Amino acid sequence: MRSIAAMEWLLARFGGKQRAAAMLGDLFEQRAQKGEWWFWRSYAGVLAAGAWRPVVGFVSAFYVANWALNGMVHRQIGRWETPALMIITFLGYIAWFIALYAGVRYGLRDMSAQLATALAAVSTAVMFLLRYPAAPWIGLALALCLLISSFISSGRRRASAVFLGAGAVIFAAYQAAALLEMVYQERILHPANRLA
Amino acid sequence: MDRQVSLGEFEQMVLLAILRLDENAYGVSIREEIAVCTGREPSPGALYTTLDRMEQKGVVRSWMGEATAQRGGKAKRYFVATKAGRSALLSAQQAYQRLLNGLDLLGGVDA
Repeated sequence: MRSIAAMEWLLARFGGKQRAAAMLGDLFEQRAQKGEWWFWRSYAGVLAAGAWRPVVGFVSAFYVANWALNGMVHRQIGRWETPALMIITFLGYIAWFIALYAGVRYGLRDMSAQLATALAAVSTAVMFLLRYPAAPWIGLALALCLLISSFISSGRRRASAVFLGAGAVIFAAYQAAALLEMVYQERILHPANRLA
Repeated sequence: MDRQVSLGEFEQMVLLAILRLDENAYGVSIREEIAVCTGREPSPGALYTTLDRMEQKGVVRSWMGEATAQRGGKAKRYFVATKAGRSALLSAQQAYQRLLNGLDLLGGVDA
């Protein structure tokens, strides 16, 4: 019974609990007729069909967003760091992450994927136009226009809410990681400096 | 104005099976209906992914039914075609018919 609960729990990670129970029930119903091999093969297939998009989406989003961030930071070497440039870089990082994740998981017709792709395009374009001092400000204004117009439109409001929510989570995670790194440096790597 | 939902080939098959099964359309019966009518048995993973996508598109809706011992105490998830689903299916089938009109598939030059 414990293994059945574990199988259902695993399926429910990539859908809902009721959906997982119904799918497992369908497999159980045909288990006696089709055999053990079919049952386990089908369970693995159902799990893979539900899991590949979130997993591939997250992994590709993580790597592509970090690759994009590296590229954006690299292009800023030797430039005057303005608040607009910092914000547009952060927006670009989130946009690349959500564009990839939502695009892989929900498809390119997903509103969040479309909004994030547009914002990623704006922030990336800014990085190629850094020789113009006004570029970060114009890019930031354009990004805000996109976010506000999305929020005003009832059909696209959820996309902007997803973007802002994900942005808040990523920002909080970044701050938490920075704090942890500082504590690690101070207390574990260089405790002598702290005492001095 | 409502945008017409487009359906892929497998989605049309699944929707037709749901319509044929009427009140008894759930995972197992849909698979069996498709297998009987087309000779092609879809994998459970492909079927559930398609059913979820179709529900997101609004062409089917689902509700939970009764649990039985035969199913390990798990409830069935029943599906029914929505009005938008029937309309999308009709459009897709009419498109096929328009493409077929005037064609002599078995008596053509290269037959």
